[in-house]
Amino acid sequence: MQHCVDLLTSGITPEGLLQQLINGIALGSIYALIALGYSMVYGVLELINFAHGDVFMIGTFTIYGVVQVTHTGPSTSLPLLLAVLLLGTLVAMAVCALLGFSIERVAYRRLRNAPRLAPLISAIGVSFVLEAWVTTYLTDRDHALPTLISGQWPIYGNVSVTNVQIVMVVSSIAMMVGLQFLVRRTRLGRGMRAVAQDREAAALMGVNLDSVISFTFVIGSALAGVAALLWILNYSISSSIGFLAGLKAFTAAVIGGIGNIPGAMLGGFFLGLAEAFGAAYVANISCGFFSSSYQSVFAFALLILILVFRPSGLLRERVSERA
Amino acid sequence: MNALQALEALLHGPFGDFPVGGLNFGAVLVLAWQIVVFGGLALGIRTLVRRRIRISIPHAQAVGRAVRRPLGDVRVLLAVAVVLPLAEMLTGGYYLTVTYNVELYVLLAIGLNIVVGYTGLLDLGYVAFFAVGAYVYGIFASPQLGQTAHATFHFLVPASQGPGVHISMLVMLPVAGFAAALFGVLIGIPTLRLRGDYLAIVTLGFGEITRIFAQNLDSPVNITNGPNGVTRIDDMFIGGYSFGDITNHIGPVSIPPFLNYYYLVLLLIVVTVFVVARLATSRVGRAWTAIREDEVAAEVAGIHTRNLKLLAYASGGFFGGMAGAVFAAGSHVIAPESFQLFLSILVLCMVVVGGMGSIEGAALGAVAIGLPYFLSSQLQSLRVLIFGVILVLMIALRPQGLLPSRQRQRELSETVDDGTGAPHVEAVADLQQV
Repeated sequence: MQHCVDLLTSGITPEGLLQQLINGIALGSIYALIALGYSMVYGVLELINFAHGDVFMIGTFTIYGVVQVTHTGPSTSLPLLLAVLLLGTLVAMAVCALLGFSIERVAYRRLRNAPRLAPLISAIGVSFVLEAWVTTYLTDRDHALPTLISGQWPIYGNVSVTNVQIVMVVSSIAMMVGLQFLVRRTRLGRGMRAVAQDREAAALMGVNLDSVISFTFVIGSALAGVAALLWILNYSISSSIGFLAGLKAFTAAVIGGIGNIPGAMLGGFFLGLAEAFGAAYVANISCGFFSSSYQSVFAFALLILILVFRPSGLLRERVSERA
Repeated sequence: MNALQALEALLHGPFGDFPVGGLNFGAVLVLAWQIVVFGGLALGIRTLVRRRIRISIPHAQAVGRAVRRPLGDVRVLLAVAVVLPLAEMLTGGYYLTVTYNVELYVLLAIGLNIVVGYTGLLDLGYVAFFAVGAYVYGIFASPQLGQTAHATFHFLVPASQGPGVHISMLVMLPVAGFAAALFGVLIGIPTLRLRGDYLAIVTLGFGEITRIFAQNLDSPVNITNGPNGVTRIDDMFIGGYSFGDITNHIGPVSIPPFLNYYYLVLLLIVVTVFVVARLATSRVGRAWTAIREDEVAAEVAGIHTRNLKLLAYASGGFFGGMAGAVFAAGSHVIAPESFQLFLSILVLCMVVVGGMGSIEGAALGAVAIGLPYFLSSQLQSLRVLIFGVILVLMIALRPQGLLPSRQRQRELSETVDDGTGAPHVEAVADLQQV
């Protein structure tokens, strides 16, 4: 018993809490960016685009490839480094967008009026193809970039924010604001909202379904390209990262209320925080019974709890009622 | 060079590797090759098919009917299933193992079909039931509990390799089934209010949670032996006859262990098909269909949706659990990595590709997907790629599945028909072009 009290009192410090808060928000910004892609596609097609996580994975490999080809390393001067990363991100966004466009064209378009499960199976198939293709032809090992952007800002005690974390949060929020503008203020966005509400009625009103749906995939996938940059600045990559990252991002989208752009962001940050705090403190709270190897369990347990008590997410889904 | 290697070479094209920073940039050339060759091939086939489709469809249906009638006869199928492994024994054990694996998936697909096909509850965590069944049998029919008892109460249980608990398969098979069914109810209760894709993602979560628990429950008390898994699991015994004994023989012919397990699973499948077919046409089965079609209407019509949904999970879980127990006995070792999410997805694909809501569809799907998948295991990651392509193609060509249930087929054609005789989806498409 004393052991448990010790774990609770000495293991949890204000500094540690603050550090986990920062880590969680940074991690959450990646989930949020991927979640936007899921959320948009789900809003328009009511389809879990299982391949989206793998599109993101291809994006990480694209950036990694650009960095390798240009021989960029920690010794590269800062302006050049930023230029390479920007170039890499643009290339990754283009590759992801093209991939998203092709996937919709090849695997989903003809299934729009098929039984509900058919496009889901098709999506799973595409996901397998992308992951297995990378494993078979590109690489079957883990890769990581050296620390390219260093430097950090002390905040309180020995808690600090790294430059990478600032980049992560700022770019994800910028993307969300841009997307919100696109959906709320442009003609294309109005088309997307119309299709999400009622596809057939939108078609009757003169919305070009094919181009709106294609654009949804292009934009969502390009956002995954940005998420790929944030990921590769922090973590290693392999062909299998797409599935779990995609799964967690979808979880984030569901938590926030699917089809809802601020909801996807909120869900992403929420999930990131839950994972960061869960992994750091579960041993303290459960008296050593659970360890950080249960990290993924927290994400899913949280998802289940939220869906049980709020079945349409924290910020309600924006999709019209479905059976 | 065998056929699989030829396929591998054809897919790769005539390009060498070009590694930069650990990545093979030659992959870009391979991609270009694949797009040009196979994309061109696909386009060519599509143009050919498009030009002839009006002529060939009635013949195709007639041929389909002619093939379907004898294959739809249960007696013919059963005879094939009984004789097939005997023929395979002549070619060595490899094909027998493949057939046995496919057979386990047939059982799983029929079980999942209850949940997904009949009741319309999209379950992406079916592997959890399989895992529960396997672990229940594995723990109660191996030295596992003996080791745990020694580690926990070492003053009471002296030997580090204690005898453990060894309960007969005849007892454990239903026990594993009921344990998985109970687990199904436990998963079902919190998810009763969820629908469609939300349910899918939550069940997927439960499947992953189950696996992670199996991986970590070696401390503080060793229940599952963690990542190493439960080892030295007993074979099945009936009287003095051990299923795993390689010296078993009839006359001069020796009986390989997998043959015993093959017939055990075949027996289970026959019983399962009988039970499920009876269930499907009973009051319960009709209630499941009603829930699938419209849950609110079903509830209004007096169907106790909560209990019936839980019953669907429990029945699906029961058969999954039994399959898990047999799997554990046949392979002697179970570890958390045997119960990946991939398995749930594989079984779901079998059900959907076969045709949801029909037993023969689920079985056919399991064979159509399982057989090429297990036969090409030497291709490693490439077979997953091919599997993905096959999934996309099969769904594109027959979105309703290979053998959809008659009832569902009628429902599908009704939803497209808006009563005026004109298909209403096409009407929208026409208006769009105007």
